[in-house]
Amino acid sequence: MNWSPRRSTALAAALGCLALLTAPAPAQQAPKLLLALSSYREDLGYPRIYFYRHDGVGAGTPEGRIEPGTTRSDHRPTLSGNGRYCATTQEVVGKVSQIALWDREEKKPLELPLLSAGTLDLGPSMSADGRLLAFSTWRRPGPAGWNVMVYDRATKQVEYPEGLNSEADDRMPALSADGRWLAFSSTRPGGAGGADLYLYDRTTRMLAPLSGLNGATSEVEPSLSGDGRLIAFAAVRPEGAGQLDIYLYDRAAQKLLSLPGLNSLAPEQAPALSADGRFLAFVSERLDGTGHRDVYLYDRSTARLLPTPGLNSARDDVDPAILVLE
Amino acid sequence: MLELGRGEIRTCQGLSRRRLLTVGGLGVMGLTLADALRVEAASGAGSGRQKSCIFVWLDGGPSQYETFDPKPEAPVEVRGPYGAIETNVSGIRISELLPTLARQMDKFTVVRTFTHGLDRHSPLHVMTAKSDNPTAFGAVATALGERSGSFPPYVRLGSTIKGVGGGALGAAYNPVTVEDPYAGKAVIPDYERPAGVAEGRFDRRRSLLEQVDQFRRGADADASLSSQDASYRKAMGLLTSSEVRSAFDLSREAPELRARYGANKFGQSCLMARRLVEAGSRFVEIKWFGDVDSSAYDSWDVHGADLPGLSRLEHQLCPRLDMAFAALLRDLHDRGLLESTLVVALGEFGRTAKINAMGGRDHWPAAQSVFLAGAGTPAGTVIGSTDAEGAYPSSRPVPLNDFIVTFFRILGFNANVDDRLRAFIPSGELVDELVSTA
Repeated sequence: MNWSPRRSTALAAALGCLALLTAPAPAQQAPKLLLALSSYREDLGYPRIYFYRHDGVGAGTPEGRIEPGTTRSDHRPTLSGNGRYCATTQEVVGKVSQIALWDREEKKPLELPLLSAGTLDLGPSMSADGRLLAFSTWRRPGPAGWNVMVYDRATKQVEYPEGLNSEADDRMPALSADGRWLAFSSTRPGGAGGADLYLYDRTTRMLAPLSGLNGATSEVEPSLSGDGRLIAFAAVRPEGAGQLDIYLYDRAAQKLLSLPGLNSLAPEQAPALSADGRFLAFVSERLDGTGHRDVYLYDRSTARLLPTPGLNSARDDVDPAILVLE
Repeated sequence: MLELGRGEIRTCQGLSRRRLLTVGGLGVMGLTLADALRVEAASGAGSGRQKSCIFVWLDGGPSQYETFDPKPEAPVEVRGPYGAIETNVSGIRISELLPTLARQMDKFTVVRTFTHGLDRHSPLHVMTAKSDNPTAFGAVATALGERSGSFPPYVRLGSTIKGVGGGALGAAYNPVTVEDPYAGKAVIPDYERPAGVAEGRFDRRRSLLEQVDQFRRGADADASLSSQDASYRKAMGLLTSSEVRSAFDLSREAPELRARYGANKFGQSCLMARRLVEAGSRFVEIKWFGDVDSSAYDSWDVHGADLPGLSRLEHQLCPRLDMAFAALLRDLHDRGLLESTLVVALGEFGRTAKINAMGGRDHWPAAQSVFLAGAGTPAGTVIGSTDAEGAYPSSRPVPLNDFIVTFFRILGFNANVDDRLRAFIPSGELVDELVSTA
């Protein structure tokens, strides 16, 4: 191990110019943000989902939570475009985890008819209209490994997308706002190494190229901008800052974009990209945090981490979802 | 047991029972820390330096597949979603969830065939030697070994491990425990007199030690110790000395080094362990940083029933282990401590080959990977191999008893000739590959 900081300044410099071209210009008035996250702050045994409103600059306030169960873990939230609906993974002790939906306006759970097969489903990603839910599933009997499925709330049908899954593990789906694009991580043969990211076009039912994204190590946890152009993901790379880092890929430029000041020696995980591509929420475990893993908020327009007062707790705060409020 | 850092005193199993044992000529009767010091003084111990140990207990039973024995060629239901990566030792691959440690493979060895038949979560069978005489390895090693200076010889970082302590040796050999070494919270706050706190108030805190010792003597109270006893004063001085407080004070480390260990209890425990060994502790036990009442939160017991699938390994457990161990090995190496310090990590058992309906793995004692480094153990090697699905040893099985005997040999105790050990550890064969250079 090299004990000096291993930041790849050369790579950062090379990508810096490109980032300026693709980074959103600082807005005169920062948009308001809604974050959802999973936290152990109230119960070390069972994480719960909390909401947090941020002014896009440096102030924010907690905004309630999903009503918890007594022996239920709630995690991996995903928000609809208007912030009304929040889908999560729910797991009651002794049972397999399921996808659940919470209506923030009515403050009550909503049914997801015919979604559950009584087998393990987790990690939902919701389209902006709240109609589609992509998720990972370990359905047995069924196809080998982890698979990605899509639930349509309108038709109440569970779709096994043609041409998406493989005989290996396909998981961690991320939907674009319009539901057309679906990014996921897969260990299928023929990749660049380890798990790779793939992008599935639900209109053509084919995989779209991601030239220059995947490397020799695994890429995981994709998150899409609203139009599916940008893909944030986590990877361990030799040129990284340490352990897992967050990267951002631009499909149009077919290159990685710089994220100066985002990564650290600590593992960075679970990137959540705002629909406009400006904000990145992610998880990191840093000494200057509030305790263990925290959720951080990064503004690409200023290349700075934003203060998030009251967002994190002394315990693990993880699995962020982010929404730019209209 | 003295517990520091939370301001409370707990008792351990059997503390109130009076025991009279003869161990290699050493009579121990319901001892306190002060007793231990008195015994030490009487025996003339205190010179020389044996090998130290950092014993890491991975509570819950770590998966060999997602740590040190990946099976990337196995069927998808066995290999899981994580791949194997090359290490800095040609031909050895470990899980991709340990990328930083993979670059330190030349400093450690893995026993891939640690095997036994005990499908229980109790750590007693792995952390103490005999179930009918449960005495922690740390207690045995520190009781029978040479003491190095006036420093707590046996320290536990992390929460209580039920039944793992001084055991038959007596309460004097229970570890000094710091439950939460993270973020400067472990400067022995309840025994250090803060600025502005009156001496009298501090004296009342001292009385906690008197109370716990009195409790330990229990109904069989032995009036031989008093507050005027010199050894008692030494014990108190030991726990409140500036040297000891300093060793427990992580704020004295550079922030970047602290960050490399990981900003979590386990990472900071590893850093504190290095500081303690450096200062003179013989045996530092790290319990994977669990909370007694919420083992589901951070346990390696990943059935998939607590959080789905293996995601806890991916997001929480392995990144923390990866960073902490890589930093620890490098740090010990750079300070010249690795040659004299054994680092060992294991749990109750390994995990099942086939991923269950919950997306996790269940208990599997037939094969577990054990991490060892330092103290003359070989580096950059793997001992034993498992079958294609990682379920059973296919070469060089290492049974529990053989491992224990070998573990003590590495620390400098020869069970074949040292009668004092027989009361505490079973008989077994040496694992020659581990001790040939020790």
